[in-house]
Amino acid sequence: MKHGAVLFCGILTAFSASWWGMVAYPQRQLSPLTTYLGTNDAGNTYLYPNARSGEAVQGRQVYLSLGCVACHTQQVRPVDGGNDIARGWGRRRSVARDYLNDSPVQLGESRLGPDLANYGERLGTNAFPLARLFNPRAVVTNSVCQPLPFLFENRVIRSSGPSADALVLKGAYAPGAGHEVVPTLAAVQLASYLKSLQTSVELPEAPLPVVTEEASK
Amino acid sequence: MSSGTTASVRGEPYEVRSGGPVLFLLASGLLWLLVGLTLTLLTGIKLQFPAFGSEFAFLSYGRLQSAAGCALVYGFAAQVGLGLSLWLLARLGGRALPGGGLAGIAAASWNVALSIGIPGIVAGQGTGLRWLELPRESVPLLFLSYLVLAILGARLLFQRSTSRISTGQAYILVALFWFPWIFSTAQVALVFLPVRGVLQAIIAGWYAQALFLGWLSSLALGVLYVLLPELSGRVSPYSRHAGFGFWSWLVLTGWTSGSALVGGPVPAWIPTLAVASGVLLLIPTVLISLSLHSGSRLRALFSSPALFLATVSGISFTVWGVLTALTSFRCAREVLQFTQFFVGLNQLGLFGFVAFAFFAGIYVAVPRLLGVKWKYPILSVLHVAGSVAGVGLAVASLLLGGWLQGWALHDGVDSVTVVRHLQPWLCLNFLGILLFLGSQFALLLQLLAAVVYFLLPLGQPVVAWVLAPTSTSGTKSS
Ligand code: HEC
Repeated sequence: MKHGAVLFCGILTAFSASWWGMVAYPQRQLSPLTTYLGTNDAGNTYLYPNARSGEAVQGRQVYLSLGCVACHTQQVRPVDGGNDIARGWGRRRSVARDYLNDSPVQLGESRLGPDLANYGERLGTNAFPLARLFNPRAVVTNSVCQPLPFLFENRVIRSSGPSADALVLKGAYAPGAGHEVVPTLAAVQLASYLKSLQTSVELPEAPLPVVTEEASK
Repeated sequence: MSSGTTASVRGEPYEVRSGGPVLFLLASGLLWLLVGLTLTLLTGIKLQFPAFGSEFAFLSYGRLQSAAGCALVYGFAAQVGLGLSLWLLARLGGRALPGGGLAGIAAASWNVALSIGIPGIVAGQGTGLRWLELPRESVPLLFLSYLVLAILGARLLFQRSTSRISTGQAYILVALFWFPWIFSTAQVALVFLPVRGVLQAIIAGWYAQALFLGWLSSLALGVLYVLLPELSGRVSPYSRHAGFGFWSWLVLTGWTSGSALVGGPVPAWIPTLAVASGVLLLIPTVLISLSLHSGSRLRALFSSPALFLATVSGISFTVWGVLTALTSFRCAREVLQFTQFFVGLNQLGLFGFVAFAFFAGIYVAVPRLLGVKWKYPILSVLHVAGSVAGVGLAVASLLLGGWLQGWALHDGVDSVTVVRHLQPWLCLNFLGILLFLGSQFALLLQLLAAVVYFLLPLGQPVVAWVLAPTSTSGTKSS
């Protein structure tokens, strides 16, 4: 290679080509995407994705700051791209619209733990198991999920009686006699965020599977 | 290059005059390597014993992992890579590093930015985007310091005394400008004026791929293209393919990022394009590997730590490139996506390829800059053997363990069982990283010895003066 200028221009061209292709063009393609206004079977209209509650938005900050994304993804792959749906991690694949309200997006790239894109849905109407945040092993034997005791307060039971939201902990995880473990605000916010994780909403680009197994798109 | 007295190992005057900032970058890079590996070990402990340090938010697995990654990439690889690049550009261009103390100031402020940023991640101020976790406060300083060093490097290249630009210089030029390009794009689009939704994931993926395949690889290939022929005394019979290898590498690397998004919530063309460019990536991988191939005899390899490391690095490059290409296929991603396989592949690239190329560079550069030969061959042997064995063990265990993890996940095994079966492999990985970390102390000792021997002549007049104060004038000439 003799000419520095030729080399320099070549490098610049290669850089800008991938920049246009992988940054600018996707931006053009995805920026028109907006909240979806749909009608369900009962004839009621709905907006998707809904804004999260203030508490859940705060909880998302906790999730972010603790780096839960290191072990948990939040994306369901289509039927022909993995077995996520078969595992029960979601009813339909995740699509770009699911993430419109999230910044920074936490898609994740490692699954040491289960996918959480629809964790709230799996919980159903059950209350969030706060003990799982205090110590996952109190709920699941041998879990390597991260214990978060610093989001809880271990305190002497007040004279007015035990707190209503004290955790029910058994065996090795129980606080000492006369003590109780109560969640701090951050723990409640995080729980609220995790509960808000649900995506099973019918979208034109991602229909929910009906009776037949035609869920791929 | 013959071995001999102190005087004959010293490099050319323009090299030696560039020595200060270069040595500073190399040394501080090595210290960040220790930090990064220690943090990696802590994450390994957390995966076996989640209760370890669980009282403290700053020992969260995710935070430690982010901090480790940033320390290794921005602390170690960036600094050693930049230091070696500046040295090579000065040496090949026959010019001393311009800018007076500017390079030293930039190198120091790079370290200041990291010393703010990495504790920031551990304290929970990370951005939550992979490889971009450094808190935004530390970013402007980091960026400025890099620009200064890159511009000084480019000046060395464009004011060179030779007319030809070698392949090594071309790779270094790519590296110098690739980083500010991708880093500024990613910071603006993701941190300062964030775009919406999955577009963030697309840009973050582009950044991560460009960071490793584009920037760090170019730094390491630059070092290998200069050092391998020099150390082995042989030119590859395929060296004429280097040019096409270079251009095809340059064109393709920016397009492969979508493979991390196969099956993800992104427009379908992104992963499709990634599969296509990932397969094409085999072409530059083969061409570059052939044109680097020195054909050294085994005996020659074992007689020089630098040649041995550079050769291992070249082999790692080939394996890494081929695996990166093969795993961009959908069928591979279906099983391996989200597993430790890619953590292992990353360690192969970052340690086996990039770090080993840099170590080889350090073994050649430091004696020339200080004018002091390496004093203790046994330390080099320990360092090289420990590093190669450690990285080999670490990478192999994660590639294999991740493969098994992928099939277990694919077969619907529950998360707790998957992790329990993965843990022995994670433990082997831990031991490999531990060995890798331990052997770095041999290199540091060796460096320390070299610096002491370098400083000794300066001390001589003082010693002489203390011993016989009346005859100082006679010792001046040393
Ligand atoms: C070291 C990896 C790791 C980290 C870090 C981690 N988890 Fe987990 N997580 C797991 C594993 C493994 C499981 C499965 C075992 C279990 O249910 O506890 C799990 C399960 C879960 C579950 C239950 C999912 C289900 O489908 O039942 C929730 C909720 C959860 N984690 C939340 C979190 C939050 C919040 C954080 C961040 C503070 C976090 N995890 C960090 C590994 C991790």
